Amino acid sequence: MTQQARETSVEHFVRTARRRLNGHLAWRCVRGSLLGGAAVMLVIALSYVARGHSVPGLWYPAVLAASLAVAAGTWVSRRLGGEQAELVIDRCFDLRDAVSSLRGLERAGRRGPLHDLHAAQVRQQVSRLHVHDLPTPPGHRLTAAAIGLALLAGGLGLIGPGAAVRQQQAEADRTRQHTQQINEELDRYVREMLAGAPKNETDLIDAAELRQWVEQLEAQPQLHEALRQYARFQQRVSRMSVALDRQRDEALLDEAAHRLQDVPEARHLAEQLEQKRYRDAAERLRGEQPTPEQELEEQRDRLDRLRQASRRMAEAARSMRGRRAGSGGSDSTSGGSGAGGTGDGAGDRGAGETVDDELAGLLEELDEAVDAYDEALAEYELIESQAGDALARLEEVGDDAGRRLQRLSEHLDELDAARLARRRLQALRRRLAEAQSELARGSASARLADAGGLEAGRDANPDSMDREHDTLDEGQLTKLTGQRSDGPALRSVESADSGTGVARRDFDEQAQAFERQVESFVQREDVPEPLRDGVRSYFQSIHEAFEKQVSR
Amino acid sequence: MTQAVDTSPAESVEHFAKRFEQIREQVSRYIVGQRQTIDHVLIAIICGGHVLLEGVPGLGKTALVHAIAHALDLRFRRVQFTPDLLPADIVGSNIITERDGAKSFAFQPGPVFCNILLADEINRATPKTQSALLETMQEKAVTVAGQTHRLDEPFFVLATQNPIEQDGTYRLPEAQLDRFFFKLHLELPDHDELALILERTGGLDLPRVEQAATGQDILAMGRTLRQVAIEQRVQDHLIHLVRRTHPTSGQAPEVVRKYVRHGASPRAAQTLLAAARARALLEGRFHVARADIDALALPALRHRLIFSFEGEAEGITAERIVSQVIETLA
Repeated sequence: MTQQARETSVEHFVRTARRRLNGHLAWRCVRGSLLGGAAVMLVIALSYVARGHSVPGLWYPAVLAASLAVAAGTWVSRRLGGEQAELVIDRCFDLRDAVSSLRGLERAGRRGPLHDLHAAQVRQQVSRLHVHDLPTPPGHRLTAAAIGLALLAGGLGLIGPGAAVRQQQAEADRTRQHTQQINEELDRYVREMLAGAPKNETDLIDAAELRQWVEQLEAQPQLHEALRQYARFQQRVSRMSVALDRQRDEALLDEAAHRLQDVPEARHLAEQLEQKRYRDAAERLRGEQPTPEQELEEQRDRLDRLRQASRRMAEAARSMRGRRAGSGGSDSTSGGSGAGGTGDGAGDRGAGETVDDELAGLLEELDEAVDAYDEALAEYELIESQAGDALARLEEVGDDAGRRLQRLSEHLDELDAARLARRRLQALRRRLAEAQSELARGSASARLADAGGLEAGRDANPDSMDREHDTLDEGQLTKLTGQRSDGPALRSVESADSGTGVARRDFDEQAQAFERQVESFVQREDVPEPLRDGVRSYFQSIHEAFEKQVSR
Repeated sequence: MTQAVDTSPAESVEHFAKRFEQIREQVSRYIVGQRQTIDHVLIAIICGGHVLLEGVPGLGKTALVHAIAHALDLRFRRVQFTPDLLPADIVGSNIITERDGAKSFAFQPGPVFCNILLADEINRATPKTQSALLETMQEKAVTVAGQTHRLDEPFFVLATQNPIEQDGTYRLPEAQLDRFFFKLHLELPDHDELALILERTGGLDLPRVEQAATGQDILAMGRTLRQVAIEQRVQDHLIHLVRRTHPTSGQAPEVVRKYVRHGASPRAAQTLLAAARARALLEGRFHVARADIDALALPALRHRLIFSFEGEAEGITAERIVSQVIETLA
């Protein structure tokens, strides 16, 4: 045999043995990884089953894939190279480093005098060997353990979810459906509200933002998340509503209405203002406007009525301004605290004050303009023959008075629109509050549906007591059950005076209900600063009205 | 009987194994058991080394040397080391001789001028005498009065020391111990071996050892074993083994770091390589295997390990250290 043939035979043996060893290694890696994967899967499955859940099916292929990946990685990192295979062959066949020495010396080019003898000896040794005789550790136990664990994990995967989890899932589904329904209703409601509102109202409401808020509502599976979502929405609507607050304007107009009660000609206007029919009041004021084109008598009549009204309203404005100046310290204090509140609130209140001042100014300006018109008309009446200049002045003053009246009317229109817009928003808020309570009530009633007891309208007959139709607990969640068919069940219903004693209701249910209430309360408690100021001024005005009545 | 110079490698290897077997057979006629000791002593002789034999009296140390000397047809001398032994008593000295009326100094060779020297109870001589012998062992020459006298080849010293009786002895310094190729322990023969000893020595016919090889054969065998190849990874194994006997080596096992003060020298590595080559040939192989190194590690290293105080105090043995080092290399 030539040297090449000899080397080839040893090399072939090494290559074959290496392939076989790596094949066995691959199987070992697969078995070991599958065993590990099965153990991991078993732990995962147990963790689900112990909590009452069914094992998600996705875990099985995921763990299998991970196990195979680990096996592949392990095999790649541990597979034998040529030199390692030589060492393993020497060790397994007890060749005393014959193969590794021969091949190592040949690779190094160290062919000593005994090399040929060495090579011939190795070739002879190798020719007697067979790669199938390479000892491979039996993997039956490993395989059996892997299969056993995998079967166990698979068996656990067949177990369905527990009653509590099923109930939880059903509740989540119910909540999701319910919130979806509520969201749709709210969407429809907002659309209809915006569609039904006149333009001047929709101009005041940021319709795009409102629509965006509605669109942001999601179907929530968790009750507390759903409640929080609606509370948040309600809070935003409240802020928007507060931004439309014209409380001081309305108070001023109430004051004006009160003063106008004394004027018989302005009683209708007073009633309209008192009833907050500001648009009608604006119409009436516009109707009362005297113009130089009218007959003098008619002008005079209108002017007198307008004069009476504007004077009273200006007095009201001055009175209101004076009172505010008197309580300026407290206002500034509240203003200071308001600055520390939310940015939106501070901005809204600032706008409210501007509007308020503007209304008072308008009323006073109107009064002055009417005074001027009155003087001009008197002058015109006196020197009717020289009507040239007087008429021109009368027209000028009349235009001025008309402009001011127009501005006042527009302000009243806007006030009316804001009031109506607020009313719409408040209706939306109410709807949201209803949605929350409806949601909470629905969830609680759904949970209580499985709480036990007979259906409504059915009584319990102790003689025919069935275990399934066991206890109508009449509000008492404590149930006493007996052995079936062992005689009549012994039940007792304990009664106690209301308001005292210990409530014997399920603690968890109580705690959950309380938690919901507190959560909802906390959400609503975050009242914006302007709203608080509005409430404060509202009660202040009531207090002032009461004092005024008492002083009379 | 002498090996031809132009023999082929195959023939020289065959000659090596055959001669070794013949020598062993002849020695075994006289020495019962102690197979491993005989092999190790023969390996040391072939490799040109010396052996320190440790064993209680009566185990056949002298008989072993006698038998080997007869089997190899080598000149044998025995020196009983005592405290009053002087270097000159070993290496020889110049004495005044008178020839034809003229007096002159003539070198009188000492007992070292032989092929096999049995230095019995070497630790009873003073360090000065010990060192004189050990210098001879290393250089294989004697210098007296400025004149160097070469010793015959092969030259082999088999020194003995009694491990029990330590009074009045001078412990061999580490540097001198390192010059011994192997340190061997003679074990007590078992029941059957002892019965055989009695049988062989109790009759009228004492066993007769016949010549199996010559000194030239031994030298030729030494040349043959140097042709045995050692692959790089096997040589690395040897180097790792020697280095891990040092506590300063990062890969030394805990027992070495704790109980060893100094590990084996490079001479130990040379010894191991030579001995492993001989063993490989004796096993019928043409390459050194890790098994050869591991098998010979203990006799080659046991006298080269210097224990720390803790090691001495706890009675740590070289066997334990070497076996643990080998375990870390497995």
